[in-house]
Amino acid sequence: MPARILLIDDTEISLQLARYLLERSGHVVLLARDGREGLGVASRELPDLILTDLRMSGMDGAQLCLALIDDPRLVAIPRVAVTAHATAAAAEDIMSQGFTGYIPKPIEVVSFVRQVEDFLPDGLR
Amino acid sequence: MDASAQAADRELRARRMLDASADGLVHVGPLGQVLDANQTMCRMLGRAPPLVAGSGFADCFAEREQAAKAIDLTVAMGRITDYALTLVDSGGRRLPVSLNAVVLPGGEAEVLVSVRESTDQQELERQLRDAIDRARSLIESSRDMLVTTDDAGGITDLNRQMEALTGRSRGELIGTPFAALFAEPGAADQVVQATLRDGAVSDAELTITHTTGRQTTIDCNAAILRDRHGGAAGLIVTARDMTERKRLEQALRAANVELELANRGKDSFLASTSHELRTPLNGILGFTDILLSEQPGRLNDEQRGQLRIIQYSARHLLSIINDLLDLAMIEQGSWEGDFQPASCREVADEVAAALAPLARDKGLALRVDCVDDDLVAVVDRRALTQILINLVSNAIKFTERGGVRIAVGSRERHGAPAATFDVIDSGIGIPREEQQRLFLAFVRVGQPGAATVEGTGLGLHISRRLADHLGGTITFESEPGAGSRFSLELPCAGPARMRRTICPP
Repeated sequence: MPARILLIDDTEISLQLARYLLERSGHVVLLARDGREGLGVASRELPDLILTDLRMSGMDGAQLCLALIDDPRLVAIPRVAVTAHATAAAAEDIMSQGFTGYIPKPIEVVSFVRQVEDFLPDGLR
Repeated sequence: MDASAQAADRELRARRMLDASADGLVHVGPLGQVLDANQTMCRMLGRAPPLVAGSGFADCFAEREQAAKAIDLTVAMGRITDYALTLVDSGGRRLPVSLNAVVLPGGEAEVLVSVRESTDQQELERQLRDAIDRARSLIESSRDMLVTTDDAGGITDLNRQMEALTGRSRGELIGTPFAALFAEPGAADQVVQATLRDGAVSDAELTITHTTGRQTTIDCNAAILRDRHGGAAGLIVTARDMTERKRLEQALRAANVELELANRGKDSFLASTSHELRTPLNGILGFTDILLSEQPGRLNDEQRGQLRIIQYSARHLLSIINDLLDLAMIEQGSWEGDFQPASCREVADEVAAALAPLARDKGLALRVDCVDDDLVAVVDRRALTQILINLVSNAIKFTERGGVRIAVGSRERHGAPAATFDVIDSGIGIPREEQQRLFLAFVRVGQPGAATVEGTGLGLHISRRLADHLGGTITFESEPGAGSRFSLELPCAGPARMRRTICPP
């Protein structure tokens, strides 16, 4: 069952790499280049999963996360951080910000799709 | 007795009297020639009377010019007393003498000189005067300021350097309190008291104020002057102008701060640049992997080979960037460990598993020997893994035959248990001349031009820095041609600063 996944990253290369892998696996991918744009797309499209970078100009990942939690229509959508700072301490920090989970950067071509699908609701894997 | 016989008799008596004198007596003519000399004088010169008469008076002395001057002085002044000279006898022996001389009446500029052997007392006085003169010139030749005081701290003497620094003369200063020379009389008095108490004081910093108000920082050393009986007679204080030195120190400090700032700027630049570099590189690596997975389409052998070159180059570049980023974090002081108990055996096994393909490609054996499978150390696991990966991959890199062994053990270090990881290879070893530089950043060992070994030369440098952060050390032994052994030693309880936070006293 294909899922509708929102990717938010201000780096075009990272965005395209993740999009290719997810589309290859049959998922529908929505793109946004910063937190503000991502929040707009999310409220309009109500995707099944949101993957976001943390370090972005404008609204960053942490701010986006809070905005998603504050919106009753969006709070149930899994929020996953994709980050290069994947130490144990950083991971704890990410979880305490309200993310559902995180995927370390750089993304692994072989395992990325499976890592993403782990966060999808049961019917969409 | 007729008149002439009486005269002859008087002359004989006078002659006798002269000869009876314990002093040498010489009658010197207007040209400085000896007209007559008594027996004592002849004896002192070791010559017979006929040889003495007629010779030059000045020629009898070592200081010929001064002897001639003595006669001139006598003629000019009428008399001289206690004029010190050295008599030289016919055998060349020297005799310190003291001259008294008077002009004889008659206006012929004839002089009677009495030459007395210097007594011990006179000679001592002379030596003492010489010693004082020598000491004085020694004191004056010093670049340092010198002051002597009595046991109450009153100035008894000082040199010209001191006069220059205070703007006051020796005469003005003698008798005044030493402490009054300084802007901090209290501190100066303490120097005096401490010296009297302890015998010496070194490197006391004081400030002298010149009469014009100019202040000079000086560095004082003081010692006690003792009298004959070993009692404190006073102090001798030497002092050096530290103004220039202080100025240099300040300049040096300022330069250091600037350097430090520049260094920090460099580090944060490095950190952000490395991050910026990694993002596109991850794109290159990601899409290369995708192409190699043949999801987008089939590849022919040539395309696959070329993509592998891209993949290999990009991975290499990424590892260099990661090294630089690590180094920047460590140097910046922003490295923070995540200290948790870890099984030493487990970490060593993981490292061996990760590098097994590398060893297999070169046909090398790679094994872990562990004497204690339960050995646990409090470490940042990622740092420990990184150090071991570096040491083991280096070992593989520099070994062509045989194998690499990771020996895990424990030993006592500073009375506490330490975990040891020895990485032992049978490789080419490290040339002796390279061993010193091994842990420096960007140093790469090997023959120049030999393209077989790659790397940034940062690995060992980073490893040692990480080991520092773990509270441990890395050492090595190497026999060129026979192999190397790198030993990582870590305190099982973690670095000392961690232990303090974990178990408060």
